[in-house]
Amino acid sequence: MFQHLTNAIGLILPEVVLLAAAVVNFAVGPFLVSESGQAPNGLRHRWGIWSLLALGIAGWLWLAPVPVAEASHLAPFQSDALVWFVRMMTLVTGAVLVLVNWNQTADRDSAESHACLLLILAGANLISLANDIVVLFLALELVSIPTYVFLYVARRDASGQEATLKYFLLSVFSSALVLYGFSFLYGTAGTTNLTAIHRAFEANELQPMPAMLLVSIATIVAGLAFRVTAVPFHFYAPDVFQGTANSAAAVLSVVPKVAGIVALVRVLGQPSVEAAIHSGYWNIGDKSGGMIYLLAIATMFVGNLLALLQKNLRRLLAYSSIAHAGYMLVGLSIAVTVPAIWEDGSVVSTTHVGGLPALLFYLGIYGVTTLGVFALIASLSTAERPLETTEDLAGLSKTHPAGAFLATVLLFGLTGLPPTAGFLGKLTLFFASWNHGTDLGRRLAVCLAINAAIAAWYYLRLIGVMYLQPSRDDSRRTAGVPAFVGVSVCAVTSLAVFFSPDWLWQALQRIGS
Amino acid sequence: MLLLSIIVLPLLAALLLALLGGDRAVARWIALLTAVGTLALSVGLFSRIHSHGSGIELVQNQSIADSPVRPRIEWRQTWMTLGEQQVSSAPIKEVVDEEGRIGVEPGEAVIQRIPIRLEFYLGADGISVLMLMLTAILTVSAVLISWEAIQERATEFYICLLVLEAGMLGAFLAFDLLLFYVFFEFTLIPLFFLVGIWGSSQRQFAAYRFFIYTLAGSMITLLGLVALVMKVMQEGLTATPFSIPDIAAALQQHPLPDNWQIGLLLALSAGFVIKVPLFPFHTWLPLAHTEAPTAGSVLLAGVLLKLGTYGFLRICLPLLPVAVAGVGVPVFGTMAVIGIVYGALGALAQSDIKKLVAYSSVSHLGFCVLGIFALNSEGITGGVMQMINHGLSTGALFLLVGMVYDRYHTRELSELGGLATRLPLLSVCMVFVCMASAGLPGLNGFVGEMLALIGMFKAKPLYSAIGATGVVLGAWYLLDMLRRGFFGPLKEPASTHGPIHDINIRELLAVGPLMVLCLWIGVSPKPWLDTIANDVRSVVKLYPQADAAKAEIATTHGSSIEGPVIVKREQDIEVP
Repeated sequence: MFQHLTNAIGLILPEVVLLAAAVVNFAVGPFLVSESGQAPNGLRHRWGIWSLLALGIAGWLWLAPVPVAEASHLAPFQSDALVWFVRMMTLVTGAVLVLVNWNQTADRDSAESHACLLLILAGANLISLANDIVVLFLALELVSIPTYVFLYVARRDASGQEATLKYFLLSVFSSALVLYGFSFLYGTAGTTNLTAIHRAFEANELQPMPAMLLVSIATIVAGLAFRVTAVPFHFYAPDVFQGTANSAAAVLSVVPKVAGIVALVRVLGQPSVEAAIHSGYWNIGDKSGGMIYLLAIATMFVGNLLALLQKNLRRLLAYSSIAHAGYMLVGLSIAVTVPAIWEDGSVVSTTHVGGLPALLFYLGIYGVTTLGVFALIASLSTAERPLETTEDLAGLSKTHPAGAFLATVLLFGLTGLPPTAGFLGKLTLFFASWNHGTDLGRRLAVCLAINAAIAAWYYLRLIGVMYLQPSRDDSRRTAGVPAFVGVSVCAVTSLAVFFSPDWLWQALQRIGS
Repeated sequence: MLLLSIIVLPLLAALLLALLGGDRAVARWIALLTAVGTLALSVGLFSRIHSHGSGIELVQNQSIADSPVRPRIEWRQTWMTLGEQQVSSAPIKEVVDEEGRIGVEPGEAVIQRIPIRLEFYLGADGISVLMLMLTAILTVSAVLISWEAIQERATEFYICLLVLEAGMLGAFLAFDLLLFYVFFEFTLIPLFFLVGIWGSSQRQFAAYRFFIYTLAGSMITLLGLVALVMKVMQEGLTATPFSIPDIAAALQQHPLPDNWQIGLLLALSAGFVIKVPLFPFHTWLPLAHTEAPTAGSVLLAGVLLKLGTYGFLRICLPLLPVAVAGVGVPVFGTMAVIGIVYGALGALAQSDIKKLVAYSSVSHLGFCVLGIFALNSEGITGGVMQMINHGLSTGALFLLVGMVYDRYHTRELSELGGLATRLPLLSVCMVFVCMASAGLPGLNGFVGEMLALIGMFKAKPLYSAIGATGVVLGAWYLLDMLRRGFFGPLKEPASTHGPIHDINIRELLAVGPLMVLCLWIGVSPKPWLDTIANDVRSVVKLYPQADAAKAEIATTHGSSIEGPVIVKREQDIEVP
């Protein structure tokens, strides 16, 4: 027992670095600001570099071979390919988020703002590491609580406060739901360890209490659906995105989705085909598959159809992020549902294109692409010439050609057109759904295709506004440098992954196999 | 590598333009040189394929030796390893039978785990190399015609043009299902900008409509592709289910169940039907054509519409023979026939010359589809020739209409008249091209239309008979347009135009080569027909019933219906 705990520290070294850096921010930050709240000019640059340094060290530790830790029924953490992927994703998106946040905070708030960001990223990593529902809940809170502060620090006017408060109340409510569900899970399984719980499911030990488990699953999925903004738990997102600052909207568009999806993957697990062929097998994932299927369809359609109506940029992107959450839920629904099986117990599809790799592949591509769009808005938006509505983008191809071009790449990426990674993301989801061999999979694939066509309309409208409509003010815009570097990183990544996707896809295929 | 360089050259030039920025004078020269260079490369590819004779395969690939789709030159590179597949393959072993002949028979089955790859699989056969040359030469014309017409944002214009060229060339070179789809989709992006930025008054609406309409159709095509590949993998037919030649070879041995084929055909063709466009799905086309700048119309009509027919020819025909023969012929044949007549009547009703040409495209593409779905060698050869011919003659028509528009800033036939006295040379070109488009014997249109109609006549005489009225109607609307616009008393719009000059050297260079080719193909179609003969034959082999019916009809009725000229053409194709 004790040995497991000491080993545990070795597994979470990158997160320890991020947490330590954040602690330094909180401890040292206040001393650099005078009592009246005046900060030396340019302090934000120092904290920005400090954050990048912390992420760099964490990245270096990520590169080093991780001690192999098989998921055990005693250990609080597990370390597998999923952890490798989530860490990579948080480190890359984290670096871009630091760049987006660079000029978005005042000098005097920068220490706290950056510290919150590092805590959020460490929390997201810990979710993937968790092998225990208590650790999982703590990690989820490590994402949520700093987010409240981050939202508040980023924008302090009335609409910012309203957005923060709205997010705070609903987030707390969803946490409570998750915790309630966890308590039922503990009550039935008698342990908080995820490996032990999944083993009990496979051995069919939990069958006597299906009603308790259903309540548990329903509340857990509902609570985590808040994080991924699945319909009908999405309604806070448009208001919060619109009311808050660009940097905060950027964080909300990516990190909670990673948190929610990874937590769902960890809790629901993947169905055991060997066990599923025996009659009476009761699988937590399989029972939740139907729920997630409905969520996925509702989320895709509601997100896309409402996005068509939006004029405010961040509100539009909020609905777009809801729609993309729907696409991810398609992958999740495939991943947790037992695939079509022949009578002799072998899987119908002979190919190994699973829902989980497709889901994570899409998550990574979506994260980078959508972050690029927010980074662009943050970079080009100034107090005198804000980018608030779609009309503000008019003529961007003249006022900032490079920005308009990168935005086009990213928006076509969100549409899912070649030659961007978004195309491969949608493609792998199609393959995973069709490969599933069930009616559920095929219906999801068809809905996905319909929605991809609907979504093309509002992304194309944004591109049309940039290129086809004249600008009201023809003077050139200047881009904020750090955020613009972030935009370039995202756009180049999106193109590069299209041409060379194998390294990522191969790594993801190892997860869960 | 030659194949890759054909796609990469325009892309590199576009990148260079984007980085240089540069003014109009530099941009258009770079674009012209690139377009000419690409043309030279594709002609080089043509001569390389041609010099080896149409019978000799450059690609030594046993597995596709009998495939209905065989590239004669290829370049493959792994793109993405999608997953693993368990294939129970039976290694082929040679046996000698009692008469001493060497044959093959399958050995014991072995289960292997084989990676499923998406590939950058470029190749070229006779059909694709002709389409490549068409694309390349029309791009040169498109650059030349935009020389003075495009004043605003000229650098961006040429970037879009070159990127569009790369996309179209890529689609014709792709021999991987997914890669074809990627290029098919990708062409939407530059064309959206070409129409939306440099088009005329309703350009934005036209651009959005064309983009969304086409995208919606191609999403269904993508679903069809996914389902097709998944089905092929589940059956364990081939280890490379994305390679068109491999999948075609496998499906030739083990055809899919009929109901699967029909479903897949309908899904796959959704995108192609809209792209061609066939009758009820043509509504996006007249608007997009009319609003696009001249260069955009030339490439849209000349090349992009052919992506649809090429898709039928490359994917549907070789892979799903039962469905194509059973469902494809009645469904798409009917749509094509309606399109021929409807498009021609639509063209008759127009007073805007450009719209007239746009509707004539609907009609002409109908011939093309009619020929392809005749499923015999005359029909398919005619369909392919019609793809080339329509590209040349309609491309030239749009160029000439653009020249008239540049001079008078109007395309309304009611405002124009008797231009032959004011613009004699341009009018000569116009008459020549209209004749080619109307299918005058001795010019290119005749070869394609006649072969397509003959092919269909052997399969379904009724379709062919109704379709033939399109030829008459085609002559009517084109000659009517000439009469109203170019002959009779001179009528010019009162003001809004500067001094009028006849066609100049640059414009002649844009349209001249197309006219030369029209004449060349019309007078001596044999070399062109020979280029595609092998590729057509290997597809036709899949449709023995259609071929047998053809032979029967040919012996009983053939000579009494067809004139001597036509019989000669038929012999041309049958040369082994």
